[in-house]
Amino acid sequence: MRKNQLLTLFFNGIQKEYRSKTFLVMLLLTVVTLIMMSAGANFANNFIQDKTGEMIKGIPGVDLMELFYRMISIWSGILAAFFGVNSIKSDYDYNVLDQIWSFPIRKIDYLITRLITSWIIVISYFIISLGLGLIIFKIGQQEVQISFGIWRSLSIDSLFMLAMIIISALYSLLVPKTLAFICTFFTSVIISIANYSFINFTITSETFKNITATKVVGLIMHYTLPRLGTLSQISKQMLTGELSNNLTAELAHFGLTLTIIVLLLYKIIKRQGA
Amino acid sequence: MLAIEAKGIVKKYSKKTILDDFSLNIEQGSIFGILGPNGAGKTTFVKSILDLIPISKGEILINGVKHHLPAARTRLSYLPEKFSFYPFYTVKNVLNFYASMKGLSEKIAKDEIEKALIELNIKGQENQKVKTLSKGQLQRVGIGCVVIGNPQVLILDEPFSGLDPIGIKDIKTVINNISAKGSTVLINSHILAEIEKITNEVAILDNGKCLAKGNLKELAKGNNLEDFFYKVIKESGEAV
Repeated sequence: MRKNQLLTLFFNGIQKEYRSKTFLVMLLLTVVTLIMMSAGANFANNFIQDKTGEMIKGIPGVDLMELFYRMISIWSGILAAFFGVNSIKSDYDYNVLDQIWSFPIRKIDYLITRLITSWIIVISYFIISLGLGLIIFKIGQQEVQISFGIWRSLSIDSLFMLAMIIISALYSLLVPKTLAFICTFFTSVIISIANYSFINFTITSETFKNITATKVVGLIMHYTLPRLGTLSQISKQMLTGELSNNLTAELAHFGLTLTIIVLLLYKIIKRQGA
Repeated sequence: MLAIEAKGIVKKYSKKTILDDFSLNIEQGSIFGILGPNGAGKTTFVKSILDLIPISKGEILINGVKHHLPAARTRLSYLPEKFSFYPFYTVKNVLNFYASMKGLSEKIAKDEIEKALIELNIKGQENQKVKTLSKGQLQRVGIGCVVIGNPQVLILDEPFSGLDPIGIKDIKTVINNISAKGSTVLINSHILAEIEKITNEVAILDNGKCLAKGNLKELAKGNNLEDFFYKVIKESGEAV
């Protein structure tokens, strides 16, 4: 019975979100970008010849699919924050939370189902966009393929999106929606700055000599929050195949810190009630 | 066996006490009315039973199961004070959602939904979107949602709100029908005249305290509910 209820809740979440204007605007923007990129590449091709004077396909040194992938990974972060803000907050706004909780389901199951639903929607956007990219570039006579690196990078980016969804869901319970969206954006930027600053940080005898308040805050953020900046870096490394970070340790840190945020979110919704 | 057993419930919002050592036993199969002026703590009590809000102290059992466990809500239905749903859902979508969440099979759900649509006079509106419904129609849909699946316990928060006399009559019939099958019905309402006609047991709350509880006829001693209610609340106010 529990499985059926969670599935019902999952499909309810999809129905709630798929009609979102932001999602449709993002898809439209993706198609427009793809067409422009394809047209731009075709235009450039008219001026690029190989040594024998033959016209060549594609732009040397530019993998269109990878370029496009990097663009949509940024947009997906925005989309993830948007869906995260809505995932639970919209149930409060529609005044249906008390009805959902009156069914024999656990609040933690409700919470996780809502977060996973949003996550799946954002990943779907990512995959649909890649598919569209492949089709539009092929129509534009470009030689493109979705490389293994893109799939590997996507697996890491999907974790980034999950973190964005959870952080924005947390903010949405504390501040109004628009502010929650802005706070999520700034949090991700600040965490990323902390991660880039302390990525090679090791404690030595010199560490505490030049300590400042900013450094302490940065270190706390680097160690206690999901490392969004490091994930972005790993995602880029996955594209090129030159991984320099300790992936297992980073994933373990990510899993632990994200679980703590989910538990915090659970405590808040339990306390706020329906 | 008791359908609902609340023992020493205390609910505080910051420093304000909403429910103050409130205890109540509701027998299985009864239609129980919770009465009280605005701000008495009625909705807080109802929400506490369902674990929609955490209680500060005390214990609540539903059919012998602790209220915070999902098992306590297995055959329980709840109608909130202002029933609403996702505006883009049709009436049928809403009823299907409730049927699925109650774990009904597709066939049973279809039959139950059909029955509820007829009983509540909303047949023909099943493809209408929630956002296009009037308050009364929406309330009928809400009642339809709670009666499907033959629940053992129904908790109705202001079920007559927004209904015309015909709607009130229809809903009273539905409540009586479901009670006749052995279900327990807990009604929280302001409309004393309707409560008097439908319930056999009541509790009167004010300022989070239970001022009176028991069999309506025995409590009122020949008075009508309105007079009795007024007297109890007035005396409580004077005592303070």
